[in-house]
Amino acid sequence: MRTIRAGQIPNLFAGNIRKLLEEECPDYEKLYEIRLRTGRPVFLHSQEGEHCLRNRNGLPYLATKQDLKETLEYISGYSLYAYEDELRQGYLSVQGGHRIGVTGKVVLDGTRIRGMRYISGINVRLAHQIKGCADNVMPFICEKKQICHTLLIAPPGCGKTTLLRDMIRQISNGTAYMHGMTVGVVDERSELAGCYQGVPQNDLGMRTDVLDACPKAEGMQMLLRSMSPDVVAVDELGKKEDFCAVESVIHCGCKLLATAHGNSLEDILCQPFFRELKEMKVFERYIVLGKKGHAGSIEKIYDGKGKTCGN
Amino acid sequence: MRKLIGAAMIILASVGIGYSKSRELTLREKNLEEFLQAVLYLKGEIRCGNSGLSDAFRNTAARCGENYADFFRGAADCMDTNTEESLHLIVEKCAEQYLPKLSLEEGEKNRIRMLGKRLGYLDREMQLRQLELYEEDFQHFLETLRKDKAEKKKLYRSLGTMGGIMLAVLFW
Repeated sequence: MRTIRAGQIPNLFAGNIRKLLEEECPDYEKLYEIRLRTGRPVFLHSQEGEHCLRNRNGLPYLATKQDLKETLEYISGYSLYAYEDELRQGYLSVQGGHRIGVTGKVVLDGTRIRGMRYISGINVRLAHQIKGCADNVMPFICEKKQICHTLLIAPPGCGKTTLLRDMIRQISNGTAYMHGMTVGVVDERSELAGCYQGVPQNDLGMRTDVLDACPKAEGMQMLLRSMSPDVVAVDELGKKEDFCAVESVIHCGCKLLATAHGNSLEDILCQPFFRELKEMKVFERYIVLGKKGHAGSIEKIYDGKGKTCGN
Repeated sequence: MRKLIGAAMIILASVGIGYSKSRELTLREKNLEEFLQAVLYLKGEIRCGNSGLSDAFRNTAARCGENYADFFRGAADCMDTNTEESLHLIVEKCAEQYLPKLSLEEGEKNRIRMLGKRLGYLDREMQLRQLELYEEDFQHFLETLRKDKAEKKKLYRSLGTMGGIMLAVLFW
């Protein structure tokens, strides 16, 4: 896998799009997504909203089938086969933690997804490390110099992963509210740490151990057995087996930081597993993020009983 | 006396040519063996490590014989820099750049040049099958070479010596 920094983002794209990006010079630090769809304009999503790439004559540039094919070749380093497992889930992660979502014709093997052909849409989601974005959250998740079991709730694109990354960094390094702790991270989609050959490319702190590309449930068990973490952090809880692993984390005395897709606490509690965890009073803090603009903009913070304890 | 020296020089040069042709066969055998070894490394990288091609090429470069190291490393570098070229072109260019010095026949070099056209398409199984085909082909080249090697080496050396003597006699 390759190291892809912000400045190298244009290199991920087909020649035509690369040239337009180089001419436009967007601020990659502020850019969230670049979306390519066959026969449609190339959209750039940033803090300021969305706009499309334009030709020299001012018309929107329409991505061609060849552009998408070429782009996918560059993204995968001419080795799409190496991303088979990820592609089955509709995305592939590239070094640096950037996630590339793809859509196209799904190839089935019986009822099982075997792969994807005729890729017609590519969404390059740029990972950002925003150090300090968890500053406002830290006072609420620390109690008596200890971390509370915390669940971050937000719809896609609201900065859950960015916030979790900074929380991990601060917990690992230590802050004014607590001393540094050993954090074990199960980075199933290589988004949190953006590991390259096992070494995190993003700063997750000095006491953090990362299990890269490992399924969450197995990863949590492995960390407990081998690395004796004080805190276990995982991104996007959702599968049944994840919840069984969560129970073992809780019962081992470790603290848990996790994220989940949802618009609100009520939304999350509609899901049976989260409802069960709420009844068991597993999570002591629920942090709901919204689309107010910057990553980690907090809408509400609830305690374990569902009472508001933040802004 | 001058005639004698001239004849000796002709014979020596001719023997030298014969021996160098015979040595080329040994080198070709070595080059084929090294490429087979490299194919095995590539297969291992893809099968066990699920490595992408640039990683697989780079790791193969680190392990394979020095004759192919530059070729694999060069191709991996080009893949990583996304030079807006197809894999086929990248491998072909690197083959042009790094392989001419090898003692391989044109057909064998062509097969290596085609590596980029064969790899990178469809799934992992496909990559492994393609590499197996390469393995079989190069195994065949090697077997054919080994079968005739001793005979050919002897022939080149004898031809060199006899040719030299014949020329010396003719010019006497």
